[in-house]
Amino acid sequence: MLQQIEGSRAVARAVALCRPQVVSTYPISPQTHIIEALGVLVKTGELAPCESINADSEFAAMSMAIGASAAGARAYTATASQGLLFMMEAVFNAAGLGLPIVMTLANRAVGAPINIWNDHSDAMAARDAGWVQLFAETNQEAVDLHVLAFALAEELSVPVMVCMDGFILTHAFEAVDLPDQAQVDELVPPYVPRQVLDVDDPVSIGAMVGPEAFTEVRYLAHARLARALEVIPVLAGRNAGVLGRPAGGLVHPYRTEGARTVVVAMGSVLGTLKDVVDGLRDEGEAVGVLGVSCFRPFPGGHRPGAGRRRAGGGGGEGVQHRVRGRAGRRRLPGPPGTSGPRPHGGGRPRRPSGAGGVAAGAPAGGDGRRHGPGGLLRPQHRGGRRRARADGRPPPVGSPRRERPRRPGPRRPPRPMSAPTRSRVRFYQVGSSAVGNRLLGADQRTAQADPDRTNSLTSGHRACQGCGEALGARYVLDAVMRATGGQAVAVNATGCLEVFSTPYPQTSWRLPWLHSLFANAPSVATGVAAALRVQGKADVRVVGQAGDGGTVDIGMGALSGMFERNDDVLFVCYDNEAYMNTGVQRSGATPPAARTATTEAVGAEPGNPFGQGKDMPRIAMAHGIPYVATATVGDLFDLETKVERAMTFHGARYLHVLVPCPLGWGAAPKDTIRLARLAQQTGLFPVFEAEHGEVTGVSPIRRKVPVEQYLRPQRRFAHLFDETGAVAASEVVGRLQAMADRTIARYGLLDAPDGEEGS
Amino acid sequence: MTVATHGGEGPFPRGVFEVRLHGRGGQGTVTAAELLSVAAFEDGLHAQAFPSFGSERMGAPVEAYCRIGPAPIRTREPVVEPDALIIQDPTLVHSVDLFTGLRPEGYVLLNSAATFDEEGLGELTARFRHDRLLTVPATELARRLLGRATPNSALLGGFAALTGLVSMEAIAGAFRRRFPGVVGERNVATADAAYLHVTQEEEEELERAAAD
Repeated sequence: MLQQIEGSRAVARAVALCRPQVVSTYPISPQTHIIEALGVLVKTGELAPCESINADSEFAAMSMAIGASAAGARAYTATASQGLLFMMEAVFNAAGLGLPIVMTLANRAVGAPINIWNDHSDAMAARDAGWVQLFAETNQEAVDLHVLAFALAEELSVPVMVCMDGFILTHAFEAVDLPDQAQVDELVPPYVPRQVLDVDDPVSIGAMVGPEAFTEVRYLAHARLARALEVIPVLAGRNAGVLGRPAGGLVHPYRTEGARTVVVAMGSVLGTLKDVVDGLRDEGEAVGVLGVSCFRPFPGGHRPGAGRRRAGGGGGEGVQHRVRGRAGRRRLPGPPGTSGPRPHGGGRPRRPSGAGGVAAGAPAGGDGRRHGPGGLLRPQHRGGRRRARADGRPPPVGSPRRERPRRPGPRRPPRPMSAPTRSRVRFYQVGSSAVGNRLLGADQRTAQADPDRTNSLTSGHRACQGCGEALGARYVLDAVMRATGGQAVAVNATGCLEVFSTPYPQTSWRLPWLHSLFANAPSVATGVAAALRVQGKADVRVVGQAGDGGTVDIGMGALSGMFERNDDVLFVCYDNEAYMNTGVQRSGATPPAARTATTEAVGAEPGNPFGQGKDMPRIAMAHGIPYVATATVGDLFDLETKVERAMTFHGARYLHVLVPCPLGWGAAPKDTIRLARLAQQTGLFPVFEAEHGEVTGVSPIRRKVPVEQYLRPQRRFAHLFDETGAVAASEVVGRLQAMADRTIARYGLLDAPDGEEGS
Repeated sequence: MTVATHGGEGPFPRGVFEVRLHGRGGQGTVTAAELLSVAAFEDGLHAQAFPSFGSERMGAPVEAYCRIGPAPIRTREPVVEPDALIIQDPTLVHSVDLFTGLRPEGYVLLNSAATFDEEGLGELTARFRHDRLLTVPATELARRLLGRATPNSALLGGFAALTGLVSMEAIAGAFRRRFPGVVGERNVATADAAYLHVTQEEEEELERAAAD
């Protein structure tokens, strides 16, 4: 229906007609009216089913879209300027993962100096991010390009950015013919994801790809992006037929016939240019305009008429760059084997011959297996035979040890929540939960005691000997899988756990698993949860996991946002008290006096300074979320119990697990469990549970251990002891003992009912 | 830069009629431009409205633009040579060059209960056609009929009366759609009162002219 409407509202309505299932929003001028209008449409139920999430940043908004898209939902967001730059890491990630997200970019200048008005420098910053970039001249075109964008994105599995000039279009009232729902339903069929987090067919998405395959994976992404040049004209023609008007395309020539000068431009400036050209043509000047609608991939085959070519307008520095590139007969980056620049990416060695080891057209693997460009992996066991299916799909998952159907019969129902809690079942054995298991009924034994457990993190991964994180993750996720009857998805931050578990093309994960970035796991998990909910799969639960760096430092903003919105995610921090993946650097969870590579044991105050660091469990509690707990891999029964307890809640839950790192702590691999237990028994690491911000239970210290017994076996504290093992830095050890004593007092670790044997 | 526009007849000798609205944040300046474009659209014309503002706060000078024409409007540049000015607050003259670019034949609609001379704008407006300068006590009308001192509805009524470019029916329709219910009706009543005020003043002027 033709109506006089603001550009932002028109776009919001057009997006709604495309039926996005998850919309993640964060305000930034001049895009804000779009997400405001969409929020209203979701709240009134006009756009349903759809989850609208108020993100805590643009970075979170794009990360949520990544999670939602990977979980099979049609995802949309919008941003501008600084917002695009703030989310840029996730923008590249979305393209690399091949997720068909559609985003509106309300083009705005990038500061400093801060400026909210229009230019294209934001879009140009994302020029090589792997997204399709479409530019609208009018609000009518903006509407039509969004309809095209969803179909294009999902056809190619590439994200599409629809650029419209901020304020000039977003805030302009003009007549727009909005399509009706039936027309859009015809043009944008339901989303059928190419790869998806599915509990019935678990894949790992977002693996680490080494030099041996990176070039090929990137080439596949490039080839899919380049296909947009073929697909856009087809979709535009089809849309034009349904909508009854021109509805997109690669370029829009205007009076270029016989032109000696053609101005190439993008966006709303084209209208003024057309007026100017009309005036000049009236005066007999042979000029024309070429509007570029599809900027990425650049439609290089189009020559805007004969004669002089001049680029400019529309803030189009990038246009100039591209057009000059053509005029200078330089090729755009092309497939390997052409004379274009070759993708020497990802550590591929450069050979003097210049061939670069790139075999044209060879897809990843080269053995007939197909891998998703985002690193779509299925669990494979070392030694397991992999057979390619006749239809070319990836080989099925098989266990080399137990020949049983991959997903037998009906799903196992969730286990009733009768799991014992620490306070109800007392174990006096120390050092083995197997003994405790034997004392329990079959349904009360640990998940690990079950021969049919999931083995969520299965054998063959590349963690170090004695890795506390691998142990903790396996227990946590197997307990989650038991509690949910196998209905769980894991989202992983970058870190050791991610790197050692998914060296492309292998994966150790036997549940659906997604890795996006270092800082965004909580937001991605939020997006996954929203996508599952909107698809009616709310029984599938989401676990986010990260190390202490990804939790207390770089990921804390996203985590706090997830807590504050009370999103239905269990987030697990595997705390090994430093950045181990990058070589043991200090994090906000590194204890005082500990040596790391960035807090060396030298100088007047060796190791990490006192008076720093974050108490993340208490920060989590301050959000008032339903459940917060701490645990260690020294008491795995307690860890499992807490995971199962956490899964009885909906909303945001946080589990902070101490996982000693033999490498980073300078300890013997055999001492991982012992050190975790000592951390609890000294009081340095309090083990407790809290509900809705209040501590509800603590693991008492039975026999309090002096901190030096915990510190001595660890080389990161070696500077506190002399060569005989005697305390050399008694003041430092005393301060650490005082810290432990304060923690014991705070949580009453010696006062608790079980603690009478202590003190 | 000269923007070529194809000439037309009647109210659009240049092919397009361009309005610049001046006001302060909170006075509904941007809304007035939008509603003027909606009214023109309802009258079967092509129209475009957009603000120049970005992050101005309450009370800060604000500009908005509206182009109206019989054909699609392609340019999106700010209006620098307006055919008409709508000024929501005469005190803006101290901070904004209100009359810059106004065409010699241009209209000026000023929110004031006084005359241009009494507002101290006589000298600044001397070069324009006297019969196209008009003040409307929009704030007073709004306070009385709308219940709040938002002058934009009265000024739109005055604009319709002064220029004859858009119909009162279309303006009323725009208000009713934007503000359903009693608020819309009050806005319509305010615009009607301003329209009446202007047409009566014009009649009196004509009678005075006839008497002279």
